[in-house]
Amino acid sequence: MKAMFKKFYPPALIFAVAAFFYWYSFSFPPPRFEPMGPRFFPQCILIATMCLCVLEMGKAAYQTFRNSLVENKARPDGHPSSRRSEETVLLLTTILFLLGFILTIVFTDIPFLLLAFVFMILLGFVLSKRTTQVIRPVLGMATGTVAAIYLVFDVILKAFFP
Amino acid sequence: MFFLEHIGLGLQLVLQPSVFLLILIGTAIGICVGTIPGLTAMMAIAIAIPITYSLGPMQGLALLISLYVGGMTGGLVSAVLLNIPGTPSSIATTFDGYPLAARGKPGKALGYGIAASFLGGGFSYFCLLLLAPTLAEVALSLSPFEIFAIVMCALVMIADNSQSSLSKALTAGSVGLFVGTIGPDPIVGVPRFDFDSPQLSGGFVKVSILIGLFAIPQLLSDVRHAHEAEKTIDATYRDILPKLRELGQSAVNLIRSSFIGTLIGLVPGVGASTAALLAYNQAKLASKHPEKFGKGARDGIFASEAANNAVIGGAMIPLLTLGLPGCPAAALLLAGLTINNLIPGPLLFTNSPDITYGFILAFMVSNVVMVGLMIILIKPFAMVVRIPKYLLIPPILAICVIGAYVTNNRFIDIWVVFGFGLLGYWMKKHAYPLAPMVLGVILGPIAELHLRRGLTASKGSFMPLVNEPVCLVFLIISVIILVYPFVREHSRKVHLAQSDADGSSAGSNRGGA
Repeated sequence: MKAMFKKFYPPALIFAVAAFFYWYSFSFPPPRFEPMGPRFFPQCILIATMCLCVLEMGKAAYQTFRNSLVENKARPDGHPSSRRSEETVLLLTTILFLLGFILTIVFTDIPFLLLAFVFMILLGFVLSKRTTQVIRPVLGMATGTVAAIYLVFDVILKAFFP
Repeated sequence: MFFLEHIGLGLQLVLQPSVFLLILIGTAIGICVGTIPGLTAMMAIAIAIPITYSLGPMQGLALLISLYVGGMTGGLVSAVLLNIPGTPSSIATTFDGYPLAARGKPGKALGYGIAASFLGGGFSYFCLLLLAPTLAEVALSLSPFEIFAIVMCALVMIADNSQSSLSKALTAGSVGLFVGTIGPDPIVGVPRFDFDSPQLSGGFVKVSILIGLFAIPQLLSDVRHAHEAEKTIDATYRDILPKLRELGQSAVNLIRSSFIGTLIGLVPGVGASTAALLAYNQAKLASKHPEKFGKGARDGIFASEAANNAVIGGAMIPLLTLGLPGCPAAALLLAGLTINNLIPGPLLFTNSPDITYGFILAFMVSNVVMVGLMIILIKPFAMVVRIPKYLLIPPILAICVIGAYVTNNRFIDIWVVFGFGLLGYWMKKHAYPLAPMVLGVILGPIAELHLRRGLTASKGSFMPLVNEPVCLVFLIISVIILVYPFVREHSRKVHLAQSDADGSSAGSNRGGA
C-alpha cells in the first residue's frame, strides 16, 4: 500500500494542480481579435498534463496489482536506515537554512554580505563532519566568497544588494 | 565576400581584451566546475547569466560560451582520475581513461582527452560556421505552423531521450510548457495565472527559473555526500600532449567521432552522453583491437571526448538558425542571447551579423584557450576534484540568491529560485526529468506564438498542420516517437510469452518422454 501511495501521489498531485489551473483559466477573457484567445494554449497544455497524470496513475495501480501477485521478498538495499535518516536531516537542514537566509534578506535590513558570510559559515559547518579542523577552511571559503561577490557584483557590475 | 567580412567583424569583437579576458576566466571556471562531480556546466551558466546583464552583449555571451566549453571538457579530469564522470557526457571516458591512469599514465590519459576535446570541438565549430548561415536562409521561409510542428517535435524528442519513462518525461515537459504560459499572453498581452498580483503579471523571469531548476536540485542532491572528499590517483603529469603519430593513427576515429557528435548535437534532446557512447561503440566496432577497449585504449578516450565536445557546435545550429534550443545548455545560451536583445532565429544573421559571428568564433577561441589552460594548469585542476562539497554548496547557494536578485532587484525572483529549486528536487526525486521541463519553459512561448499566428492566418483552421509537408513530416516523426515505445513493449511481451510457451511445451514433451 505504501509503495502504491509513493507512486500514486506525485501524478495525483500534479493532476490536482493542473485541474485547479484549468478551472482558473476560465477567468481569462474570451477571444476578440483572433480565433483562439488567451485561454486556448494553456488549456490544451493542462488537459494534456492531466491525461498524462491519469496514465501515470493507471500505471502505478497496474504495477502495484502485478507486484501483489508476485511474492514480494524483502531486499537488502545496502543503505542503512541510520545513514538515510542522517542524509534526510542534512537535506532538511539545508532547505531550512536557505529558507531562513531568504526570509532574513527579505524582512530585515541586515547587510547582504554579512548575512551571506554568516549563512556560509553556519551551513558549511553543519554540512561538514563538525570538527574543529573544518573551521579554518569554512572561514576561508566564506571570506573568499564574500570578497568575490563584493568584487564582481558591487565593484565591477555596480549591482544593488538586497 | 559578405561571409568573410562578417567573420572579420566577429573576430574583432572576440579578440577585444575584455572579451578575451572573460573567455580566459570563464574557461578556467568552467573546467573547475566540470571537474567536480555533481557540479555541471549548466549550473555554472545558469548562475552566470545574471552577471551578464551588466556586461556588454559580446562580453556576456563570451563568458557563458567559455563556461560551457570549459565545463564540457572539465568532466574528463574526474573521469580519468576518479573513475567518476565530472559531467554526464564524460561517462564513456571512464571506460578507458581510468584504466590507463591506473596503469600509471594519468598524464597520457588526460592528454588524449584534451586533444580529442579540442579536435572534436573544433570540427563542430567549423560545421557551425559553415552550415548555420545557409540553414538560417532556409529557416526564413518556414511558416508559423511549420515552426510550431518543429518545436513540438523537438519537445517530444527531448522527452523520449531523457533517462526516464516517456509519460513522466512528457508530463515534465507539459509542466514546463504550462509554466511558460504564466504571464502576459503573447498575442494580446492579457495577464494569465497572475492571481491579480502585480509581481506575477509580467510572468516569471526565465533566469530565476533556470537557476532554480539547474542549481538547487543538484546542490540538494549533493548535500548527502557533503562531507566526503574524493580520493584521486596521485601521479605526475608528464608527456601530456599526444604525439602527432598517435593522432595520425587515430585520424579516422577522431573524424568519425566528431561527425557523430555534431550530428547528434543537431537532434534535439539526444545529448552528449549518447553521442559519446555511440562514438565509443563505433570506435570499438571499427578497431583492429577491440579487446583493448575498456583496458585503457587510446581510441576509446579519443572517441568519447571528441564526440561529447562536438555536440556543442551541433546543438548551436538549431539554436542560431531556428531559435530552438535542443539541449538545456542551449536553452541557457538562448536566455543569454535574449537578455542582450538578440532574438535567435533566421533573422539573427541579417540583423546582428557581428555578434552572431562573434558568438560562433567565441566557441573557437574558448576551445583554443581550453587546451592551453588544461596543459598548463592540469595539476591545480586535478586538485580541485578533492575539494569537499561542504565547502562548495554554501557559496553556490549564496551566489544563486544574489544572482536571482540582481537580475531585476525584486525579492520575488529569489522566491522563484527557491520555489522552482524545491519543485525541481521533488520532480527529480520522483523520476520526472528536468531537461524536458526546462525546455518546455523556454519553448512554450515560442510554440504558442507560432501556433496562434498560424491559426489567425488560417482563420482558426488546423488543416495546415496536416496539409503543409514540413508540418506533416514532423507530426509523423512525433507520432512515431510517441507510439514506438508501446509497440516495442508489446512485441517484447509477445516474444516473452512465446518463449515461455515454447519452454513449457518443451518441458512437457520431456516429461512425456
